[in-house]
Amino acid sequence: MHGFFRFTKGFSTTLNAFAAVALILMTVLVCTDVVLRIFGRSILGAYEIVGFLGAIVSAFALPQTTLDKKHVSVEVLINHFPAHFKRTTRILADLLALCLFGFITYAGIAYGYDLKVSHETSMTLRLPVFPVLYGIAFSSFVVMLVYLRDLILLFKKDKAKQ
Amino acid sequence: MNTLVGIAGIVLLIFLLFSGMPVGFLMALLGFAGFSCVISIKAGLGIVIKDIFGVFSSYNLTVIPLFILMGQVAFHAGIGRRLYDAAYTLSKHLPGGLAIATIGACASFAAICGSTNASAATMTTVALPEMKRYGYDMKLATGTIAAGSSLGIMIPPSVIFIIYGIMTQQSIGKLFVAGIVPGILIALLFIVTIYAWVKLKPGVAPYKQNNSGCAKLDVLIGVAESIFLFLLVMGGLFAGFFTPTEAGAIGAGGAILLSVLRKNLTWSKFIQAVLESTKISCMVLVIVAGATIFGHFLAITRLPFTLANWVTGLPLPHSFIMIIIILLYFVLGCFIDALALILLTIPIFYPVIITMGYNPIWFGVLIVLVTQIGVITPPVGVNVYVVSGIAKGIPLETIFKGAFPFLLSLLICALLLVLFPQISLFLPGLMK
Repeated sequence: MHGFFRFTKGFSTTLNAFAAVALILMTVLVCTDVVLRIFGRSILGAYEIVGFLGAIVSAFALPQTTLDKKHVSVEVLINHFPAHFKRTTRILADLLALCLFGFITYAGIAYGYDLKVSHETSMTLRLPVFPVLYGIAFSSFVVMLVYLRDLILLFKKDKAKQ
Repeated sequence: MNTLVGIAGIVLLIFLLFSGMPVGFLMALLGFAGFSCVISIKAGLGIVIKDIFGVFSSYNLTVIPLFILMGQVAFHAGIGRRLYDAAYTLSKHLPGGLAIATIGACASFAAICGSTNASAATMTTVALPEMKRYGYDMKLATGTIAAGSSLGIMIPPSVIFIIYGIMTQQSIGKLFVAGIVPGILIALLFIVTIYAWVKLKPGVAPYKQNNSGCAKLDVLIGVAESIFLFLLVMGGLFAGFFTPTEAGAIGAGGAILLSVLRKNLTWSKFIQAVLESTKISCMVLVIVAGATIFGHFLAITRLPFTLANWVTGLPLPHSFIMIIIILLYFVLGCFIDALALILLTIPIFYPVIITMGYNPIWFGVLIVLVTQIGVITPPVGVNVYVVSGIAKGIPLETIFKGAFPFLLSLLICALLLVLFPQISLFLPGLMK
């Protein structure tokens, strides 16, 4: 079990590092494009590369953001309920999130495959779009693992209490 | 029938919102379930992945990570401290000078940061020890920091304005510019509040001659880069030279470059700033994606349009309906995060506002102001929690009480905006 926890955390951290690199590249690319414009030139396809990098930033940061519980949630009411009610609600909420990311993973692979067989590419640079969809699907799969880890930890904590 | 499904979706959303599930995930899940219910599961899966891909890879939305990076670099490079020193040098001769300096520093930090949390954390670290040292009442000190930090929502570059602009197809540049005068007005009203508070109860801010500040010229040179960065970003947007994404990149790149040149940004701080930026951006964009999916579900039920037609058909003056909507935002803002609130409610109320003929830029500024109130009111005043988290030992109650007089300033500003819409519309009217 310890290996699974380490694997999930490691994957989340690595993906977030990729997201950070994408963010730096995005900044450099747009700044360079603006500076080049002063001299009457521009980077071909900058617009679509920035879009793809944006997708990498958001998708690859998702597992780490979920792991660190950085998402906005309304906990004002639930914190006032008894512990067992709070726990049951949390398990249900985690299971719902697990289902959601299961759907997203499946839909990402299916849509990515459709784009791959139809040779869908970006307008200017003709870059294939499907790897971005596979990236989103993979990241969603890691989020599923994060939720699974949280559920296991929740049950383990209960067992330890007993 | 579809309208009923839409209503059921909203009721379920409100109910499940309090389960503690992340707001973005919840909206995506309900949007998917609703879409599957109205059309088919295949269509539901299709809309979920297409919306997520659409939001994550949208060029226009890349402005969010870029401005967040700019704010995080400013936060980690200690720009907040220098702004505070400069503001204090200018205001130390006034009663409550340290508190006034805090507002000045918050307003200027908001102009390059845009995150209320980062602003609250910075000012609690920088300004609170000084105010403690000079024997300031903790209600005044912490209330000033919590309220002053909320300026980041109104003063550009504000993430809430970006989100509102994208959701309503309004110019982000115009929204940014529209927030400048109300932002300055709120800062001035905060200063008046402090001045009046200290005049009424001089004991809350004991006046002591203090010559510890640097020479005026020195501190102004110290903040020159922040002023330059703000003028570059906003000037470029105002003149139509940059798109918002380009302005964000120039702001982020400029903040990194200037901080490195001044030797304020070490490698580890830079890495920390970038890693934190990716997580905050992800958090924001997940809510945007969730709201987009939920919005598409509502659109196929035609609920927003039915509601808009029904509300505008009521035998009530439009101004009365407007007041009800503002009050609703005010109440919901006390319970729901500002960003989530805007994303949840705009698809429902925006068609109503447009049908009634109100200016969308003016409405955006007004709603952002109302949600600004929510960050310092109980029970979920985020800024108060940030201040409390850093200023150990000060009860939450003290901070909420301290922030209360500043609510009056925000309400006065809201009233002025309603009576004189030109406060927010004058500057955007000058734009190209």
